[in-house]
Parts: sequence; structure tokens; C-alpha cells
Amino acid sequence: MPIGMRCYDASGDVVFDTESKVSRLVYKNEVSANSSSNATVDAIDGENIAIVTYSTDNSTFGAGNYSQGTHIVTRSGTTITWTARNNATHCPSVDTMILIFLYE
Amino acid sequence: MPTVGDYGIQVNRSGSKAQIDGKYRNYWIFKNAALNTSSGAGLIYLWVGDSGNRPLTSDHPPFVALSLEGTDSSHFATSLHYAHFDSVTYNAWTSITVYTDNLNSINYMVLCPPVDNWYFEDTYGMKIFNEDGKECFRSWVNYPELIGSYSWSGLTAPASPIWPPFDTTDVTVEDADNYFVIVPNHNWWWGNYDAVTGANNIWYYTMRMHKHDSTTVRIDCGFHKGSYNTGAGMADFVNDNLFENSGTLLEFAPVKALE
Repeated sequence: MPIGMRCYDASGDVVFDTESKVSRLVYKNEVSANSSSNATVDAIDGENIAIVTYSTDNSTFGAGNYSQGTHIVTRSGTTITWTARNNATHCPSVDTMILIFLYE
Repeated sequence: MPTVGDYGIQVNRSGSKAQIDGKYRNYWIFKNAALNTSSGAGLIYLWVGDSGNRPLTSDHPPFVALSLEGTDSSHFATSLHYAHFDSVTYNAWTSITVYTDNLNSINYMVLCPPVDNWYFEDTYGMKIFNEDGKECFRSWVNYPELIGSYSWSGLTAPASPIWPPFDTTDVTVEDADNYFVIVPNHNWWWGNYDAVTGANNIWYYTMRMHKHDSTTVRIDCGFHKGSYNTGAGMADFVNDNLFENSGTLLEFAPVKALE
């Protein structure tokens, strides 16, 4: 007897089956340029995660001859730490979106 | 056992792992298409919005995954992956930068959480809302399965403009035909800074991923010069430690119709 949920699309095709898994967004934080801090995310305790970061600052993108320095994001246990760039000339610190996905 | 503060619907698959957890927003495949580029390198803008031209907001942050095609590194390059999302202006865009040297088509998919009140003609099935009243699951869209997260490191920054790639590392994956996205530990750096004239020179630190064999994704890096290059300015890149020599490769197994 299979366990789980099955979903069909309008054509009757299975789009989600009993053994399908969905990676879940368990943490989202848009952090400011030049700021560093950390947060505790209990949901990731002992679980596999994936961290995605990208800039949400459009002011330096494409307008100047600069890249963007998104924050450095690391994980230790349930602690997520983000560290701002050092505002290097060619890579200024920018507002950064941090997404953390849980997959198990 | 549920605890105080839990909400939503949880469905477990065998093994007691959560298959659906209604507390969280589950990313679905908003768009799955081919990206055609006519030039060797380019910044590709992707419109991310619904049929009513309502853009995503910062509450619905998307990101982009690129698939691999072919095994010939000299003719396939993808990947400078750069997802930019403007959460302020009305005309929100998600942009990715893709470098290709010969092939003109790259498959990509845009992932985002369910978007409240977006119009869909096929409205049936089930929605799950989280405690904020936000949609976190819809039964009629496709969800990609994140099946692997692989760390890589050790790439060496080129000391001078060089192409083909300067250094390489291999990542063993489940299936090299799956969708991937590379997430650098720091930032996926790219640039067009010109230290000499302030304009028109284009230099790229470029990392690429390509399929090496059925279970191997190869990541390599180089320093690619654009239309004009004197070589000056490169030391600035290196000295600023902007080159990222490590990162994470995410592997997504596309959800396929089984019947």
C-alpha cells in the first residue's frame, strides 16, 4: 500500500506521486548591504539544506562597471550567518536575498 | 508528533519523511523553456510574472536553474549563473547571465513559490495555506525535487587572461542530465570592470558547468576577455579576492508525468 499523496494535472497525468519530494523554503531573509548577523533556523536541525543567495539591489547593476558583492552565508548546526562584503572597489556590498531550502 | 505552533497539512511518504509540509512554501516550476542566445556571452533577461503582468515580489523570490546539454566542453558552456531580482519597481525582472561559446540554446527553469492571486485557468485540486495566509502548496503545478547538494572547492584564479578554462574540478552527481544550479559560497562573480579606460572593455571571470559523463558535472574557470582587453586591471580582481574558488552544485530531478 503506497503512502503519501498523488496529484494529477488537467490531462490526467501524475504531477506529484506518492514518493515525490518537495524541497521546502524554510528561511527567507533580505539583508542589507554592509550588515552582518546571524539567525537560528530550528527547522534545519540535522537536515540537508541548500543555500541560495542573490542580489536584490538594482542600483549598481548594469549602470556602473561593477559587479555586486552578495553576502557570504554559512551554516553551522542550526545557525545561519551572513557576512557582508568588504566593499571592495570593484564589488560593493549589496542587499542580498538569502533562501534556505530543506530537502530530506 | 505535532507541536504547538505547527499548522498546515503534512503528508509523509514511506520512511516517515515529510512529503508535503504545509508550514513551508514549496517551490514549483514556474517556467521551463529553452534560452536562445545569438552571441557568445550575454545578459539574458527573463520576465517573471503572470498573464496579468503582475511581477513577483520579494515575498515570492524566484531563482533559476540551468540544465546541461552535451559533453563537449569546447562547444558547450553555460553557466555563469547570476539571478538578479528587483523587488522594488513594478517591472520586476529576473535576469541571468549565460555564457555560451557555440551552442545557442540552453534549457532553464525558473523556480518560485506559489503566488497568491495569480490567475490560472486550471483551478482545481488543493491549496495549502500557511499561517500567514500565504499559499504554500498547489496540487496542479509541477514541483522539482532537490535531490542533491554538492560542495566543490579548490579552483585557482587565473593569473592572466586565459581561455579555454584555466582550472577544473569534477562533481559526481546522480544524473548529469538533471537540472542544476551552481551556488557559489560567496558570490557568483562576474564583471565588466575596465580599469584602464572606464568603458568598453569586458573581462569575465567565468565559471562553467558541463556534462562530462553520465554522472559527472565538470566545473571549470577561466578569465575571458571581451571585445577589447589590455590585460591591465586583472591584478585588481585577484587582489580583491573576488574570485570564488568554491561553491555548491544543486541537483534537481525534474518532476515527470508517470502515467
